[in-house]
Parts: sequence; structure tokens; C-alpha cells
Amino acid sequence: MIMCRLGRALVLLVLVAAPSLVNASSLPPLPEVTTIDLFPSVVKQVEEAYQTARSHPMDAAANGKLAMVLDTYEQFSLAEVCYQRAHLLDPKSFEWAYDLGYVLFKEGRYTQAVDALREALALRPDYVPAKLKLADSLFSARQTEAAGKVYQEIVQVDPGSADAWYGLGRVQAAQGDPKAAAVSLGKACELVPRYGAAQFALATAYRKLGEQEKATEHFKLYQANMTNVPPAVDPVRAAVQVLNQGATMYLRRGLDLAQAGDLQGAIQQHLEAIQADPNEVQSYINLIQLYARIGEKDKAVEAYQKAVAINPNRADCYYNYGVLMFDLRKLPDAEQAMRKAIQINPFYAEAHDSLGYLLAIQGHLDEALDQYRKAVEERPDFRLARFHIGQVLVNQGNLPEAIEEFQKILTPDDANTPGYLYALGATYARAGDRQNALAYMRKARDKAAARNQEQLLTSIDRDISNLEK
Amino acid sequence: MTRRDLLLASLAACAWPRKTPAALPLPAAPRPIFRDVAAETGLNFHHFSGAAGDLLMPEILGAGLALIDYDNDGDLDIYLLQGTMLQPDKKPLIPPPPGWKPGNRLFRNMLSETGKLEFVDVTEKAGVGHIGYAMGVAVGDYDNDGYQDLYVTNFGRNALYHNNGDGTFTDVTEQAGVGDPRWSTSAAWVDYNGDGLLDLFVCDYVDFTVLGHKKCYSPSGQPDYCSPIAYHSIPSRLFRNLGNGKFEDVTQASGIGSSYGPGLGVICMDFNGDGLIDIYVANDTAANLLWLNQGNGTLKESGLDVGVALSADGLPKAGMGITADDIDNDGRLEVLVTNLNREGVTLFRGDGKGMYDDYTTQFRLAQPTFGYTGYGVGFFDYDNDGLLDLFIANGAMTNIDSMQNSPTPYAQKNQLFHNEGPGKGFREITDGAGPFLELIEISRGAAFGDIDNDGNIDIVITNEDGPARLFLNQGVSRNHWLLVKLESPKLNRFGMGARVGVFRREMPTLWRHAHTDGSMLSASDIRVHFGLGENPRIDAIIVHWPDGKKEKWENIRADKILTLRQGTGHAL
Repeated sequence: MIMCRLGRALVLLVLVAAPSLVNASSLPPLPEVTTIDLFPSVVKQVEEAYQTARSHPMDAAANGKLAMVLDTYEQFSLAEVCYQRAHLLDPKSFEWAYDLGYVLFKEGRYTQAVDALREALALRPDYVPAKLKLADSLFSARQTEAAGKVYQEIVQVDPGSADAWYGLGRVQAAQGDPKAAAVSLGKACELVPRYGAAQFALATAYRKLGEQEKATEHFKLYQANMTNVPPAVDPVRAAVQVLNQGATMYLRRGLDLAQAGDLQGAIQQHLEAIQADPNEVQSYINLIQLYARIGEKDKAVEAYQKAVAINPNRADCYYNYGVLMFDLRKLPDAEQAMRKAIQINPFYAEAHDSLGYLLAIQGHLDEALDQYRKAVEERPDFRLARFHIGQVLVNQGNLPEAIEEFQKILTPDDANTPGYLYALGATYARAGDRQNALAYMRKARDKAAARNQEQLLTSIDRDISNLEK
Repeated sequence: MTRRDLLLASLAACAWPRKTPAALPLPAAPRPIFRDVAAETGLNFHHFSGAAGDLLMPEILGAGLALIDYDNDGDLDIYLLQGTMLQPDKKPLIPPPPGWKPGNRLFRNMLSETGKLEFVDVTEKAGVGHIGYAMGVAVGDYDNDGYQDLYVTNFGRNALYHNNGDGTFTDVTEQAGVGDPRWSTSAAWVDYNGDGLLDLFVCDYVDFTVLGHKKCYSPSGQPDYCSPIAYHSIPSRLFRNLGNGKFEDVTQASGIGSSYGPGLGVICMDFNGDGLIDIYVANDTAANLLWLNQGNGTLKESGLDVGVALSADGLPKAGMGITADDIDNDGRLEVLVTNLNREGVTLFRGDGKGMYDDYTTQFRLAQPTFGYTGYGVGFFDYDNDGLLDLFIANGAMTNIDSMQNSPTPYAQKNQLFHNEGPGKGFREITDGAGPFLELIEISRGAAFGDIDNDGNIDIVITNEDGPARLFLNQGVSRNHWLLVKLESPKLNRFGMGARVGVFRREMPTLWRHAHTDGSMLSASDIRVHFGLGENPRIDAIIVHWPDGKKEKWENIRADKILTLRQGTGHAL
């Protein structure tokens, strides 16, 4: 019994002591890390992690922490060395092996990533994100069959993994089996309909199968969700991501939230970005718009003033301010801001269009027309600017040219199209062409009805009724 | 004798010095495939970005070059594009070397006149030394006078130089109406409406201005060059040649203005086999665009439908350079786009029915190119074995974390890949190709052509804030070859857009194209090159002329430069 206990104690001792068996010379040297020019919020974080690793070079956790900090700021090659050290110092840690594999994958070193991820999975075979990354690495390393097996294993255990179905579909497509690929990719899209890459791959598979209609449908879904991915459930990687205190990351998150309609959340992230870097002018510029959208006009003006104080030459800053001033009915200020935006960036189509609009409502039709034409010169597909050109031409009595402009904006078919068709019909009516007027107004009515544009529908119906009399 | 004795004996043999027998010479070092002869041939050009520390976007894009036989003396002259100070009140971080001359430079090749490969700077005499912030150049004979003209894109107003045929050029930009003032990058001459007059396609990039430039940062906050996402992308332009020295902007009328991204590379070829020239544009951080020619003066964007918009992962990449040709000699087109570091190149393979798939991995290009930012690029047969190989000029655009402490954090090595044959993909031979590929520079433009008329394709590259390089192909393989120059009597005089096939019994037909576009910011040799391998036999040559006519020539000998005049072959 005593012997047995002693034996266990020895085993424990060996396990605990194992890391120290790695001597400094067998480790890759700790990389030199510079903090010059980093965001103020990042400097302290990196320096602390670096100093800790330097003063405890044989401590796996210290090396690993430094690796995580570098990793979160996409310093992958430096992070790789630190993860490598952490992994060698503590080979029983799943985190270091997995993070190492992840970073190797990011660096395009797929074969080494496979090795690291296999080691990680030997420690935690049930960690699905690591299994997925292993399959991804195998696929990228051209070990298609092996990748397929791993994806299969995942979907058997977790049929709700859209990522695994997507990976499996890509493997099947690469193996020349678009039919099987379409099934797998279809499952991925079913699980996460806004999964952009899966929609793209599914569309490609359908195209390969000659099912053009389905391909077009899924290409459209792809275009609507291009960069959307399934929500990641990966606590190990989340621990890395959460370390990011850079202004860029806050700004990115803020933009994502704004796009999703969470304006308060977006504002908060922009304020975090400013805290991370008080000179982050883009945040102030975005805040002009965000505050204006929630009705906090004073704060929007304040954001503008701060932006201009940091950089007085940002065209988008003046543009956002011009829009804000227009909302506040301060037309001279709006006009001045748009002119300033154009002075900085003469190719700014939206600023030309907005300035044109400001001029038009003040009755300066020739100047407005000039600005609208500049807008479409910069962006020939700028439908709103062409619509404005048409409006001015109608006001100037130049109906044939107005009709020509309106004709150019009837496609693509979107929410604006009924309005443009209506404008074209009305212009034909003014020109005395009753037949065309009715034809375009009826088209406008059908499209407005299909889109439930009630107000527009009422106007169109009234005009049609007058024309039919 | 035991094994130990044997070991000791061999060790002793190594340890004791002995005389090397005179009859046993040391094996010769393998001859390098290419050799940089720029300096020794007088091609002294040093690019100047004018970077002054504010990280202005145009500084990092570099500039291209053109291979053009401007004096029609039978050899390729070289036109190199130059930058300048964007902020003249500041001091450049990297001043130009002593003796440096500003503006674009034209170097005349003296080979035909003296028999020696040597270059003379004729810029002033030729009148093409535009001092601006030059980006790209397109070569084509827009007025069908038999002399190729130059279109130079700039960060700022572009310039059209008419070749007067007497060694001089005239700036005709204003009269022609092609002085696009936006930030233009690559450009291409293309007869999109089949009237025999070359029209002009100009890639435009983003609405960056010096005054309104933005400060961009890496994720950790280090100042870095901006991605194009920081600005609005602007539509490319299409100018229709009216035939009277004037062009009409048909960007909107042709449909080109309906879809756009930050355009960097362009190549014009028939991508769907309908006999009409299409236009393919590589966009930086946006889906690439394929403008399929509708045959009625309009083009329809079809990149996504056809399969060349995005790589298999569905993510838009930083498309830059383009090359397209039949790399597996199956009569179908393959297209390659260079991208950013950590993206790798994308290779699309045609199925012969107008559809394409991402075959990057199958051609073994994904991993070797992953760590590089590719710019100028070309499929070309460096060893004349009949299979098109691949060269990529590399150089980063944003800080590479592993090179942060390097004095040249954007520098990367260029890459050469050997085509191993159908089904075998490419093999990178960068490390064994000789000293020319050991250079670590910020390479940008790349143009391909036979500069010394020896049947081997040479490469000229430009380097950001560095010297231009002329990599002369040493002709190591000794395989057979043919170089075809096309001539049309009246329209599209150089046969731009023609498809040329070399037929040989029991061997795959080699189909190549007459074009100067592709790569990035650069223009290559219009002549069509064929590597023929060990067998010089050619049974016939067929030319599909841009006007739709087809002709055949027989009794052609290899290893020469051959001029094929439209109307002199057997009509098909």
C-alpha cells in the first residue's frame, strides 16, 4: 500500500515536473515584440503580457497569454512562436495546442495545422470547433478524403452543425459529386439560411448540375448575406477575441450593430473605439449619422465638431454634417458643408447629388442640374441623381430629355422602381402622350401594389383615374 | 573487415587531404533560367513613389511598364512609368538615386540596329516623358496607322500618346476625350463592337484624394496603408473609338457603369466561346466582374453566373493582376487572378461551355501563393516545352506582421512555377531558378515578351522605389519555338484579340491569343509565342481573326519569327 501510494506520488511528480524537462534551448526564442505606434489602449496590454513572458520564460501560461494578445491583433507569426512555446512547456494543455493549430491555419500552414490540431484533439476529442478546424486544414492541405471523413464524423454527432455540412459539401464538390454536394450544402443553408458562403457553394453546385433557376435563387441569397456566418460557439477562441481592445475592433462591431439596426449598441461601440484611441476620427464621423438617426441632434453636432478638430479634411465628415443640417432645415449650413465635401473630394457623387438637391429646393435649377450631372458622371448607375435630373428637366419644361432620363432608371426592379415609373408616366402625361402615360402609370401601380406602397398607390390611382376620364 | 572498420576507413579518407585528380572536374553549377541584365544593357530606371510618411494610397500601388515596338524595327522597346511627390512640400522617405530623371521613360532597343541588346533613353525625343503620378499603360494601334500607341493611366488625368511613326509621339488626350481625371489603374485596348477600331477600357479604382486621405491602422493600431474599403469605389470607363481620333464615353450606354468595384486588373478575351471579345476585371476587395459581350454594343456583367467572380469559398478577395490562356492545352481557357497575402491566387478553369470553376487547389497553387501579395502575373512558356508556366511579381500592400521590424516591410520574393502537364498542376521552382528570384523587392508591374528575339520569353518587372529588372531568359531548355506576328491590312492592324492555333499530328493543338493586356498596370508583347518542345514539326497554323474570318497556313518552320498577314493564308 505504501509502495502504491509512493508510486502514485512519483507519477504525479513526474507529471508536474514534465514541463520543466523542456529546457530553454529547446524552445523557439521568445520573439521581440514592439509596441511602437500601437493604439494607446493596446500598448499597455501588449507590454504587460510581453514583460510577464520575458520574466517567466518557462511559464506556459505567460507565453500563452502573450500569444493570445498577439493573436487577437492578428500578429499571427509572432503569436505562433509564443503558442509553440506554451505548447512545448505544457503539452497537456488543450488550449495551447488548439490555438497553435488555429494560428497555423490562418498562416496557410495547413500541414502543420493538422498536426497541432490532432494533438489538441487527442487531449479533448469532443471539442467540435477543433475538429472542424482539423477538417478545414485537411481540406486546404488537399487531403480531401480525410477532410470528408472528419466532417462526416461531426455531422453524425452534431447534425445541427451548419459549418460541418458546408465543409462536407465543399469536399463532395471537390470530389466531383455536385449532387451529393447540393444535399449537404442544402442542409447547411437550411440550418442557417443567412450563411453566405454556403449559399454561394450551393448555387455553384446547382449551376454544375444545370439547375440554373435554383442557382440564381441561391446566388441572390448569397449576395444578400455575403459575409454572414453561423454564430460561433468556441469558448477557446472567444477567450482570444475578447482580449481585443483596439479601436478598429470596436469600430467594426459598431458598424455591424448599425447594420443590424441596433443604433444604441452601435453608438456604444463607437464610444469604446474613441476611448481606445481618442483620435479615432472615423468614429466621430459615424457618430454624426448615428446620433442624427436617433434624434440626438446636439450630440451629432458635437461629434462633427470633434471630428473636424482632429482632421479638418474628411469629405465624409462634411457630407454627414450637411445631411444633418438639412434635417435641421439649416439650408445654408447644409450647402456649405456639401461644397466643402466636394472641394476635398470632387468625385463624391452623393455630395454632388445632395448639393444639387439643396440648390434645386432653393430654386437654382441650372446649378442643381449641373451638380446632378456631375453625380451621374461619377456614378453612371446613380438612379436617384438621374431621377433628380429628370425632375429638374420637367420643371424646366424639357420633357423629352426628362423622359430619356427617367427611362434610364427603370431597372433594377426594386422599391424605388414604382416611383420612377410613376414619374415617367406623369411626364408623358404632361407631354400629352396619354397612351404612354397610362401604360407606365399602370406598371407603376402594379409594382407599388406588390410592394404595399399605399401612399404612392393612392397618388397613382388618382392620376390614372384622371387620365382615363 | 567489420562495418566499424569500413566506417573508420571512410572517415580516414575524408579526414586526410588529397589531391583532386585533374581529370575529374567539379560538376558545373546549373545555368540560371533568367539573368537580370537591366543595368548592363542600359535599362537604368528607378521607380520613385514619393512616399513621405503619410501613407497615401497611390504610393503603395506602384507603376507598370509596356513592351512596345514603337519604331517598328522588329524589337521590343520598353516604356517605364514613374511616380512623383504627391505632397511636394514634404521630403521623400526614400529619395531617388543620384542621376535620377523624373517622369515616364522610353528606352529604345538597339538590337535590330546594332545586333546588340542595348537600350537608349529616347524619352525627350519621343515626347512621352509625362511627369505625373503614373500607374498603368495600354498598348494598341487605335488609329490603324500601323504604329502602336500608348495610353497612360495616372492618379490624375490620363494621357493618350499618338505614335507619329517617326520616333515621336503626340499627346492627343484632349482631342480624343479620354483624359479620365479619376484614379485609373490598368487599361486595355479592345475592339468590343467589332468595327475594326480599338476601343479603350480603363479600370478606375477609388475616390481617394490627397487632401481627403484617411488614416488607417492595423488591428493593433499601427498606421498602415488603407484598404480600398476606406473609400468609395468608382466605375471603370469604356470609350468607344469613333474613328476620327475621337472617343465617346459609353460607360453608361454599354452597361459597364451598372456594376463596379475597385478595379485593378483587366484582360479582354472571348470567355464564353461565342466569338465576341469579353472583358474581365479584377476588383480589389470586391467580386471580380466578367462583362460578356452581347454583340449589340452592350456588355452584361455575368461573373457570378459564369463562375469567375469569386473563389470557391465565396469571399471577395483583393483581386489585382490577371492572366488567361489555355494552360493544359485542351482548348479551354483558364484564368488566374492574383490576390493579397493570406488569400493566395485564384485559378478558374473553363469547362469549354462558358462556365468556370475554382481549380486553384487542383493546380497546386493555393498553398505556395498563400503568403504573397501578387501583382503582375503571366502565363508564359519559359522553357518552350509547349506548356504555359507562371510568373508572379509579388510585394505586399499592407504591413506583414512577420516583417514589422524590417526596413522594407512590404518586400517579398517573386515566384516562378513550372507547368508539370495536364492533371499535374504547377510546381514552384522559385528556389532553383537562379539569383533573379532571390531578390526580395516590392515588385509591381510585369510584362512578358521576347526582348532579344531568341525565341525565349523574357520578363521585365517594375519595383516600388526600386530598379526595373530585365530578366533575360537564358534559353536553358533548347526546345523549339515559334513567334507569330499578326498583320491586318486595314483594321485592327496588329490582330488584337485574334486566336492562333498551332496544329501538330498526334500532339495537342496549342491555342494562344494576340493581346497586350492582362498582368497588372502593364502591357506585354503583342506577338504570339509558342513553345514546341523537342519536336520542331508544325503541320499548320490557324488564325481566328478578330473580324471572324479564319485562315490556315501550312509548311511553317519552327524557330523563327513569323509574320502572318491577313488574306495570305487559306480561308477556312
